[in-house]
Amino acid sequence: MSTGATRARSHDRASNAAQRGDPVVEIRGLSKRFDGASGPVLDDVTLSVWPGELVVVLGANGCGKSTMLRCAVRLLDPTSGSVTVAGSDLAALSGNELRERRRQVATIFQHGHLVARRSALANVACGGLGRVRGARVAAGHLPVAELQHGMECLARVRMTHVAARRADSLSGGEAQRVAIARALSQRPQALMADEPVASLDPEAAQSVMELLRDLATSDGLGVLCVLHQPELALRFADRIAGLHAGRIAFDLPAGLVGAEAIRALYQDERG
Amino acid sequence: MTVTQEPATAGPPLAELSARHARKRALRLLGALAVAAFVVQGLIVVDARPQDLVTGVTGMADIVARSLPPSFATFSDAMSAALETFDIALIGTLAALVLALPFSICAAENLTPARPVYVVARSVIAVCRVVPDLVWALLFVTAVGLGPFAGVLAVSVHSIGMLGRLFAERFEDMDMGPVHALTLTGARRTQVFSHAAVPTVLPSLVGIALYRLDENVRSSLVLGFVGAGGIGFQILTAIQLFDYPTVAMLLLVMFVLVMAVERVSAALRRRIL
Repeated sequence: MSTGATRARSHDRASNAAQRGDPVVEIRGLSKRFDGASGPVLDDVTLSVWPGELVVVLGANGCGKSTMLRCAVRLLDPTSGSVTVAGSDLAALSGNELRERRRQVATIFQHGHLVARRSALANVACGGLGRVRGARVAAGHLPVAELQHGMECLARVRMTHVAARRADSLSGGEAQRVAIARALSQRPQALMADEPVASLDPEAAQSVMELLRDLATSDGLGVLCVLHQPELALRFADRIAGLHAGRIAFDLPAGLVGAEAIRALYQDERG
Repeated sequence: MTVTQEPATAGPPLAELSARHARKRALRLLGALAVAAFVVQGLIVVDARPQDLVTGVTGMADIVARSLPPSFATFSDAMSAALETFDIALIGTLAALVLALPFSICAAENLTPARPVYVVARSVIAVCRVVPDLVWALLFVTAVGLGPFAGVLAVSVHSIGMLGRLFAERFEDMDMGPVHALTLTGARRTQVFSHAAVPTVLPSLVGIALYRLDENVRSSLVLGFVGAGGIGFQILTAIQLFDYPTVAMLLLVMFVLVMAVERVSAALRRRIL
């Protein structure tokens, strides 16, 4: 397939996504300044993700990509701004309300963050913990219904064959797919992925990106993905946001992002 | 030839780096001198006289000679006392385990529910640990009388301090990735703890507890000297009666018990870790 055709299709997907009503994740005026730092890491960042859309954030090391994602899911408290998920501002919530709302957004990390000594299936079923309660679950038991749903999620990422294997015996690519299955078992409306392919070989990286693409297209999830590989972003994203020195430098359909704009993101800030 | 000027933000100049290096070397030298001074004052304070050990070796040899051969006349009593010593260690360790776990969660910076809870938990752990088990035994003998129950209480309270601190440090050092991942799924705090934190650190906690059991078997022997039950009390009685052959037999029994516990605990730790 030609690059032009890929870009045209990507542009169409972006246009379609934009016509689907309210965004599933809406970041508005997000700023973050760490104590003692000379300037903000994030400065007035605004970005939206619609259902069925895969948005990739590109930027140089230290430009604030991961901080933005961590603020978006409230692993870090933003200094100012709002993060609206399915109509609620996460930045304004706390306690049970925050916990309930977090279930709508699944997060995937660079290293999967699976519990090493548990099976892949148990790890996946843990994604549904937010829906269940009771003393047995609090004591470490996983309900049969969640295990069954976990198997369905493993099937969705084509990993049922590793269900019984311990997480620490999985390869990097397998672990990342199992982490995606855990994210799916949350039954989320959006996925946030923090450099999900950074530690994978090119083949595994492509396979994970294909899966994220498919989850957006087929399952209608809004996917916000921080990446370091422009070629993967151009190939799989509907929209690309460029982050430079904590600010959004551009936010365009992937088909309209030129090589020069990407090069500018990675230029030495001192230059 | 063109010379590119380094930007101002390229890093500290060479002179500053060199001065910083010299300061570090001076600090290291001062540190080494302070350690040497402490060692010298330590040798003076403990009144170290190795020559006395050489001249007094005949007295030690006399006691060893009078201990041989060991007397097995009271062997069955020794066995039941050895079992009592092991039971003091086992029950004391189990009780400590149950109490140390919640204290250690509260005393781990990354898991504690609130700062005041952290301070209280750390203080309780410190008090339990700093007071020696022998002193706890004396206190409990006064409270509950002579016998193994006082030993169990002493072992248990001191072990809460030891296990609490080691467990808390293990929790603080654990990989927080799975904890963050499960927190972001919307799981409750208790669920995150039981489904992410516990499976991550469980082998280490079991290993630490087994090592503590091993230590407590040795401790409960000494606790018998202050009336807290077990084989220690029999050893003390035999020493006071100058019955050295019985002392030798009791020490042999204790040696076998300690070695057996040590081997089994090491094998279990290897299997778990």
